[in-house]
Amino acid sequence: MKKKILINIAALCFAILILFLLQKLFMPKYISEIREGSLIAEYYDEVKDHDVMFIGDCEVYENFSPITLWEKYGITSYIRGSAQQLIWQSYYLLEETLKYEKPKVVVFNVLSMKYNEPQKEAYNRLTLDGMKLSKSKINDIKTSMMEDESFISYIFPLIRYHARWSKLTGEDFKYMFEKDKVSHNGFLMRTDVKPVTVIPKGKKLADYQFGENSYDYLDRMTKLCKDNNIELILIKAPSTYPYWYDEWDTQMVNYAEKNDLTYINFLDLLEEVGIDFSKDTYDGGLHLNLYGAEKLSEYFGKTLSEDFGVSDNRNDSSTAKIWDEKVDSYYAMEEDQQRELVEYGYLKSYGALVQITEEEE
Amino acid sequence: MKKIILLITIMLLLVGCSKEAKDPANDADQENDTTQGSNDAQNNDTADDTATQDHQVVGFSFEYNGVKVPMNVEAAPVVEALGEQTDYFEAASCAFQGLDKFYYYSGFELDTYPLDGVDYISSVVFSDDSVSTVEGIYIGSTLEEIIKAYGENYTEESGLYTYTLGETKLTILVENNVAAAITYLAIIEGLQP
Repeated sequence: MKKKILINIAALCFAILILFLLQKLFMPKYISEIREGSLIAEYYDEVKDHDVMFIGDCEVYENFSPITLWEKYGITSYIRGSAQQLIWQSYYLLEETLKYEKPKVVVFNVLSMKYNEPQKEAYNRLTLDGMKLSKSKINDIKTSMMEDESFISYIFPLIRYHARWSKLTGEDFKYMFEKDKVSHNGFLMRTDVKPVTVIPKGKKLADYQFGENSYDYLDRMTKLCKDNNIELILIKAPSTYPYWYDEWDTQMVNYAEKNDLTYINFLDLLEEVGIDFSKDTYDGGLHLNLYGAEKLSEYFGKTLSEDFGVSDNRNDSSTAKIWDEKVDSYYAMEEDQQRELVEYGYLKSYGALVQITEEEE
Repeated sequence: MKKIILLITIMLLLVGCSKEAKDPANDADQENDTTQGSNDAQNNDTADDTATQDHQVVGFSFEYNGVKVPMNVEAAPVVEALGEQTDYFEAASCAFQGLDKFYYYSGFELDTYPLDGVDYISSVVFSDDSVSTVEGIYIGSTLEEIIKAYGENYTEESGLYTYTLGETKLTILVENNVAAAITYLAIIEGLQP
């Protein structure tokens, strides 16, 4: 009888192991394509000792360089960004982050205030699949799910991705258990250049008021930071599209004033920052490239250092040792990207394929 | 033991052979989960039944210089027929492949979205009063004229009047009793008007 029970337990464990391996295999790896999918998970391998935490959508992970903040000001930072990260996702990511570390400053990009409801499963997956299971993740899933999504598929992603069996590539096997890092403390590097030619005008809206749900989560974020003695800085990154209405900006100015927060709209500071939209963007103004991100980081780092007293950690030998490696990796990638631009005319290995193909056509 | 082996076998079968779910990583700009329009325009004579190369589309359709511009049809032939645009802009999404494209013409803007490598028309937005709808409504038309043209089968919120026909919408923003903005929209999941 005892032997029978042990055999059954062993068989059950074997079944669980098989399912675990299948899940590891079928999950998208986000290495050569849609690298953004790797961003959230990369955080967990970090030494968690950052003075500044950025949260938000692609306007943070494309526009700020933690390496520049380190090199110029000794500021340690991380960007917990993801593609079209919605405000409640930012809140729950921040809540989760605070279980690991307590930064002095949190920087939140306010573009996501425009999304009051869940938008697309595909973007949900890029944020949620990378999170470790936690109460924050569970709440995040419940808040993010579209009508036709299932909660259980986020807990056991194999349910969602099992159909990928017919699309598996070598990459799926190679990166089953361990992946190369695609970001630099959450910053996704692009060294290519596509100048701004047209800045689209905003379309008239019936109602410019941000939704109740968005304000609720902004309030929660504000409280979370205050309760933890963290300075929350609201920003609007200098992206030309999606259009940032004056009416939206006024709401953020008023919110910041009412809640004793700092709000910086970098669209108003382009000249001061030195952004040149003929050189500093890789996609016609939607996001900055490496050079634009470094300019913006150098400018903002001064604010963080002088106005918010964020420490210069360059004399801390253990921290410096960690960051020296990051710096080396950063410049190695820059060099590699420059090489690809010369060799192929575009960033072949860095997810730039489709845009360049469109241009060539 | 036998039950557990049976359970494993069933699970493996389910993993491999169940209804194929689209991979969200390939799906973000390719899903076209159009919903059926819930309302017909009150006056059917005001709506166009527009056939396209690929599929029948019932809905609102813009017209410019004799060129019909239906919603949710392949964009290339329409863009070619419209001739040279005054400006052009393209926007990649945060992560996914494919570009939303914006073609600017005199008086309006034509927007497209990608699906399976093909661009489809997602919207037409009037930029001034030099163009009008097929039914004669333009930026500056009165609310009375709008309702006379399209009927009373609309939804209204914050001054935005929305008519739905098939897989399309016609939205007219009314301010101070006149049309301030006019937009044709294809009904597509995740499309922000």
